[in-house]
Amino acid sequence: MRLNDVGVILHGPRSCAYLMDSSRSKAVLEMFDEGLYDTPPARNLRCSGMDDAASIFGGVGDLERCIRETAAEGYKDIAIITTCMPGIIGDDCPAVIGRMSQEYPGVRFHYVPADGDIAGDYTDGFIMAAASIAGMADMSIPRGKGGVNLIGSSFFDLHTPSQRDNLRRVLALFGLHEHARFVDEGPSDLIRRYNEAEFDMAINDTMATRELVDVLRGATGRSPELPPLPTGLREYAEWLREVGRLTGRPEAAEEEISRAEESYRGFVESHRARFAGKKVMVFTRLNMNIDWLIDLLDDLGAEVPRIAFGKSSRKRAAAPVTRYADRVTAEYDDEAFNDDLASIRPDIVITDYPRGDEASWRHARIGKVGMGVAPVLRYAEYLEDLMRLPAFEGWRDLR
Amino acid sequence: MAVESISDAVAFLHGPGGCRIRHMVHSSAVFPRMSDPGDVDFSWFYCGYPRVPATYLDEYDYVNGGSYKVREGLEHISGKKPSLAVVINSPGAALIGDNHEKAIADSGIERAVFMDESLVSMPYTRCYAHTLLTILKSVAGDEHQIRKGTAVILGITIMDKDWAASAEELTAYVASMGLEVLCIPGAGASVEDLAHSVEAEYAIVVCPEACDGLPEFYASRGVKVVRSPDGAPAGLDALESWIRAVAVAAGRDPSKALGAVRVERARIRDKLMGMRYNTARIKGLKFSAAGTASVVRPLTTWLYGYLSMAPVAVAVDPGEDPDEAAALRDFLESVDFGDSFGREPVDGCDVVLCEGFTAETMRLAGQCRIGIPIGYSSMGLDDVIPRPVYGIQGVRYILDEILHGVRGS
Repeated sequence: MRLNDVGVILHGPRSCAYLMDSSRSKAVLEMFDEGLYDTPPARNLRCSGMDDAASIFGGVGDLERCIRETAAEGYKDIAIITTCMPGIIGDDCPAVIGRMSQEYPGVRFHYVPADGDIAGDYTDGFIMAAASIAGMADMSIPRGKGGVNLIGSSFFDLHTPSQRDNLRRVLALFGLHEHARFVDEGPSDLIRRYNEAEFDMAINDTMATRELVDVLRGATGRSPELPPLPTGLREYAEWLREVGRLTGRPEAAEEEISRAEESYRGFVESHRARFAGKKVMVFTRLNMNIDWLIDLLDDLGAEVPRIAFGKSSRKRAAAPVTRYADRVTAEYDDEAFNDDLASIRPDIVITDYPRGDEASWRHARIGKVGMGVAPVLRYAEYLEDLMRLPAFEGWRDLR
Repeated sequence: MAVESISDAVAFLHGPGGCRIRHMVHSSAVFPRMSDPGDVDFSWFYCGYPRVPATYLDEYDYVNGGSYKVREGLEHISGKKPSLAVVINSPGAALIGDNHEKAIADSGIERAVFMDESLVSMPYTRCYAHTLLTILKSVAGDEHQIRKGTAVILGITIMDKDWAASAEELTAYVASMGLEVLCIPGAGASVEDLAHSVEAEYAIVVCPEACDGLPEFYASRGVKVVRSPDGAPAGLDALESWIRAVAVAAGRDPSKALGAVRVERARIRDKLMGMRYNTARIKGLKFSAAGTASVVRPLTTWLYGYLSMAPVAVAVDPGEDPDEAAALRDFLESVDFGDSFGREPVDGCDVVLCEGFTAETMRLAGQCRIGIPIGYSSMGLDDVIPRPVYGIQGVRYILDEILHGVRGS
């Protein structure tokens, strides 16, 4: 659905299409409203509308009809995603697609047999679709100069205008610019011209993004040359030096590093007093790479007795990616969390997981912060403020 | 969502976890029923979120059956002592034929029903009403006495934009006529409320599509059904018509309710007269409207007559009330805009009134100037100031959006 010129057919009930569309739309439309994309939002989801009769007589007729209607709208790329129903009743979607390919020789069909959750969980389905999209890349197009493909399961690290502009600024220091995003909102043309880019870069270092990198390697033979988007001073400096080396501009790297270091060290020095000795627990279920946060808390003198990775309800296991494997607790659950709250009695808990009982412990949100040092320091200010603000907002008290 | 509208019932989804997400989030957003904040359930079925527990059906269960998860889930839910648990199949789960009757019996849960029919791809309003009707038939006793001077209000759903504000306002009008509103089935009523709802003297319809089958049920129980000839109370004219329909049917005095509408008319008139330059930009605006027929019809006639806006595309959702749809079509023909009937929102019109994501997408894509959510998906779940579609609040909401939207035009 992120590719706005691809007609996406959900083969299944209308309610499934409603869930798919509404779960995504609000967040995406807010980003369009902020002006984050150069293209307008699209309504490219279609649905075969399988009903009760289809469970008896099959849904291939519904699928054929929907494909014809979608092709009539002018889509040259049509993706077909299956839900549980056609998977269970055994609709022969490849045969339908084969017939439609004959009927519409100018249309490219992309089949994603997710079968709801029968073929796997959310990530499995995402990777399946990604593999199909990766197949759109035209590898006959030669590599160019200066372009950087960005790879990520989500682009929330760049989903503010300031973060997007900062990335562009930093790339420009090395004579680079953004090329395609795999996969973010926009036309499929840049995916087709994927090979034009000089370099590839992962937007973050999570298991999901690593899987995407594998998918792209398989489809294009390309692997990221640039390290993942760096967050925090250590990663930022390493990243800048590597990019400087690759582009033959080491002096640009050192200049930017000096600027970032000065900013970071100065901040840490002037803000350490409020963090020194404070007990901070970290509990993430989104399994983001939070090494920048651990570095920051260590630099600020906080005690971090628990760094925990839990499992999201949609995943099979926690999948931490970290330099601090010896300090993290994987497969952490809510029972362990409750035990820690009682025994550690933290000054603040940093978590991406709103449990609903935050009235009983001081907590800070954590999400994607962005590239470099500035967003990390803004986050530190947020933490600092939270430790000075009332632990519990007044609205929680109904007296 | 019909089950989630019942304040002390639990909708238990038999299906994949992905099917749960939207329902659980939307349910707690539009009808928060917060229990003790410390009481967070991290079981397999709730995963830390308090609404719409699910069996998290997976590929193993599709092959081997998932009945054991239904039984275990109901055992767990029974510990929370809901007044009613309702097992609902996802489309995939409906195909595997798990025996919910046995699972309910084996679980020992006191009160539970399951939705037997597969309502796959049927219109939302019809499904909502059907689910409610199934529950009503299960909880409403056969023996009851009609209580004079009482009413229930039908056809508000918790998927309606700011439904609680609509319910409050419409209840106030009915109460001002001396009728006691016992409950609003489908919008916040408890199981006990539903059980006693058949004792009402009147069943007042707001949106016929959203209570499809319910008026007949209540009529069969001796309840007098009241329905406005001009559709749902959206727009000032239809609101007045709705109030009068109640008053005539019940033999009550509508002057207080109509007085409130009259005051509002004067207030709006003053505002529009005062904003003369922006007001002048409204007349002649083209609009597209799409949604439930009994809502789109009064909105269309109101925008046409009250603001002199031109209807260029007017479509009704599947599951439409045939009388409402016919009346809408006839109206458009009568004012020489007949070719707009049946057209989905068009690119290039000034104002689009339809479900929220489409309206917002069209606005962001430059396909309309003003996008006004009136349907079941909405960007406005986080509104603190209610912006419903019905009643005076609905009128203010729509006028606000239009007046703000014509700035700088």
